[in-house]
Amino acid sequence: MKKLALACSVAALMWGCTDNTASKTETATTADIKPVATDAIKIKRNPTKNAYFGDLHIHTKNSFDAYIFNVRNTPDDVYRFARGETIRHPSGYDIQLWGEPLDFVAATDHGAYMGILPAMNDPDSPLSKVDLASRMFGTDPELITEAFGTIGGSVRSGEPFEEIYDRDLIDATWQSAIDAANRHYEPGKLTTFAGYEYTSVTMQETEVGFGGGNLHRNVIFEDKAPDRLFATLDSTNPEDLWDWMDGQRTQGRDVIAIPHNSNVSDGKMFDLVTYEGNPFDKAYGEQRILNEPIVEMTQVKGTSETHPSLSPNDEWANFEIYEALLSSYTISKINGSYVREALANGLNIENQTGANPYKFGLIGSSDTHVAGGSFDDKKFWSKVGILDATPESRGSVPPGGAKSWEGVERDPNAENWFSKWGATGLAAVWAEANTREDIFGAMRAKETFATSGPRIKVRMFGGQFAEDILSQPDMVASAYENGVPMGGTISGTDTAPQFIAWASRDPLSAPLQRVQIIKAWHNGESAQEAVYDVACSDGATPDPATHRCPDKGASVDLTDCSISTDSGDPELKALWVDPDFNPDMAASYYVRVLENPTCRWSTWDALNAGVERHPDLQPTLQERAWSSPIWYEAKP
Amino acid sequence: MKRLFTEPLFQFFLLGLALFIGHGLWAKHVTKADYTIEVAAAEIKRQAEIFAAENRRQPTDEDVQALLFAHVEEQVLMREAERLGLAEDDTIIRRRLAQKMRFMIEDSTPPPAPKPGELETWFKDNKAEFYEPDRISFSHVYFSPQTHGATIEDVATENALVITDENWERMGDPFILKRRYTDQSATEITREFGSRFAKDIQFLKPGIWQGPVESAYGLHLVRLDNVIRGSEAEFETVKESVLRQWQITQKRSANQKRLEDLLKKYKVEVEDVRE
Repeated sequence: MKKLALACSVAALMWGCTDNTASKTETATTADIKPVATDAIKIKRNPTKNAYFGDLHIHTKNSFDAYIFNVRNTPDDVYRFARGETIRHPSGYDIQLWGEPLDFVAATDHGAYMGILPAMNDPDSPLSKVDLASRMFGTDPELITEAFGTIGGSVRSGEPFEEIYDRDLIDATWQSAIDAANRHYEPGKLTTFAGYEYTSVTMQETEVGFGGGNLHRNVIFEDKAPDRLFATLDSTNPEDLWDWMDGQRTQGRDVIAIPHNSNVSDGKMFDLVTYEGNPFDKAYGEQRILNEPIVEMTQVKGTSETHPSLSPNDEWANFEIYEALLSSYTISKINGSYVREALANGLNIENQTGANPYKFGLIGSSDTHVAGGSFDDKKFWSKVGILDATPESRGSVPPGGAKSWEGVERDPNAENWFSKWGATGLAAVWAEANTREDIFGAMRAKETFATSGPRIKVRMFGGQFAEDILSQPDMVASAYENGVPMGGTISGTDTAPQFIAWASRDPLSAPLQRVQIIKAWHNGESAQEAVYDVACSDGATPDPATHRCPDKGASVDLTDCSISTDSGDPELKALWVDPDFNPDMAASYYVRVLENPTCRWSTWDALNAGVERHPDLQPTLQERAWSSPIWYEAKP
Repeated sequence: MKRLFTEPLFQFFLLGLALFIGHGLWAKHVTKADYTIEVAAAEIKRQAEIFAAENRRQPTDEDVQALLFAHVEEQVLMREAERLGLAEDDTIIRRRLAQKMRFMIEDSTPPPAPKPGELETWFKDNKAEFYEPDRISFSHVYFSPQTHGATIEDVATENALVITDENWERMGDPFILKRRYTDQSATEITREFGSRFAKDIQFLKPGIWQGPVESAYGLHLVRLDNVIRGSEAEFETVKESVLRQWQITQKRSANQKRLEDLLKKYKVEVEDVRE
């Protein structure tokens, strides 16, 4: 006892001597600075709406996997990063947001075992004494992998691993995540939401170990959030999550779930049967679309718009495609995994059951696991902390400091690993003001769009407009008055509806090459699609037979990644009528905007390192934005 | 006799004897301590509590026995390993210790509370950080390169001749965002229009239509409606963010100072590896 007192008094000279519970409550006070009273600020509103950009998929050290990736950043760091402050990457370098501060943001840690891993690594927590902790934070890499697999396996099976399933600690971590979101909310400037990830995974029968079809969703609360979250350890069936969310709503807490990575869902995300394999009915469709009005279509682990084999006539379908199921080399089933096909199938399901479960809007987000999203190809830090922190570890430069890939044996599985991940995923909404109510309202109304990183702005309207609307100075007001914006529905009509497709560039990125309208419908037998160029850069017009813009030869100089300056437009718009309109056929239409080509991150990595770029990786890409669809209802 | 005690040589001998006896006793004590594993009542209680938390039941006597045995075994193995010097040059242990030390330095410190008046003084010295930037309000008319192509400059210049405060809302092309912006900082303007436009707009005369001014989107005729010059923030209005910034700064410099103090205790010798 005497020795302890002595140690304590020495320690007191340096950092104070307190017992651990006391020091914990004290550290919490750093962040206890109250936000400015919200009613004191007059929020400016714009009836023709502003474009707001955000990220609704961000992990911190409270996620079981991120902690293993050496991430120690907190939800507070998420909001600091969103404001433009620098934060520390687990590998020791500083990271900062590309471009101006974000307008809205949410930290979304895995709900299952939220905050458990940090406790297991804290010698003062009883959780550090469990057997799993000694393996997880021991010295044997095999035991670490195995221990990590144990937790992953539990998340997948939904069976809690009792030894570490400390529900009180999860509740406390969740409460601190809610508090962080509330503390950083600045109406008019930065909107924050309390959220978490519901991490449901299916298993392929043949597979061993952790891996399977991704049914992940991010659960985002409009304002008030409950004391306890609903995770895969409560049920792995997303339909149970919706029941729980319905319950939240009856208690005055509106909430949505945003599915992501359908590309690696093994065909399950947009399946044609329920989780248990039963046929859809009207109640299913209504419940699903009430709870899941938008989908995260593009993020670091791939873009889920469509797949080249689903869209053989879409020359731009091969964008940041990633097909390996989580933590495996098994390829995800394609049908049922992509958004465009789901939009078409949804119309058929509506025909059969009376409700469309796939009448969703679109956003992107990062899915970063280091508390800050990597959107800029010039300076990419990928996703999983120390695992993909260096160009060598993500396969963009030759190993061992070599200058070229000559003679380097290339990993056949690299196709399915970090080198295929992308610097992509921003969420955007059109809203009158930057508040929780407005941003969340825009997501409910699906007046949202997705981008691959640049802040391209895209508007879409459908309806009957004046012939000269594109040159009317008050075009936006007039378009709202005479039509519906993205996310809306047009009722059946004999006259073909008109669509306004309109985009403007990100001043920090490349100019625009073309604006397209993509149509998805279902003929009763299979999903159908068509891609129309509707506005071309450099004064060109689409060929009426092929619906394609002429090639203006925009190019990238791969020796320094500079782009041609004599091609591309800052702004493109078009008033378009579907040349193949059929009044009796329901359809959905969305806008896709393409920039001129620029270097992909892997090319930038090699260029920055002064080495040969990876010969198997695509050297360039076309950054893009996608609007939410407008639906046309068949004539009754 | 008295003389003997004042004899320096004898004093030296006595001192030596005392040291010899003292060292012998100390060594014996240390050896005993090293080979004694004391298990305090508190330790037994702690182990039992952990057991209860993990197993959702209280430990039986046999469980406690097993816990104690495991504890003793761990102590024995650890001490033997230490004696053999196994901890040295073990990367994991080295990193873990360094990490623990860093956490002790950085994270266990509660956020400092400012003394009365301290925050105000610090705010005065760091006013630049809390400077309220210029706020510009302006209206604009947009000309799209897609619509006008090569003639865009002529069209904008012609419009500049006839634009008035009455007709401006019916001129030009539709703009994807707003026609009228209020109280925008240079950062906000840069974000929406690009840096060139944000820079050029500052030099316009207020109240009259001017341009064309080039932006990232095309050409604009612009009327500067109002400029609120930047000013130093009042302490009371930014008190909260001053406190936050002050705490971050204090903590950062305290952490740095502690690390430097530790560094000072060491002499660093680097072997020259050059030929």
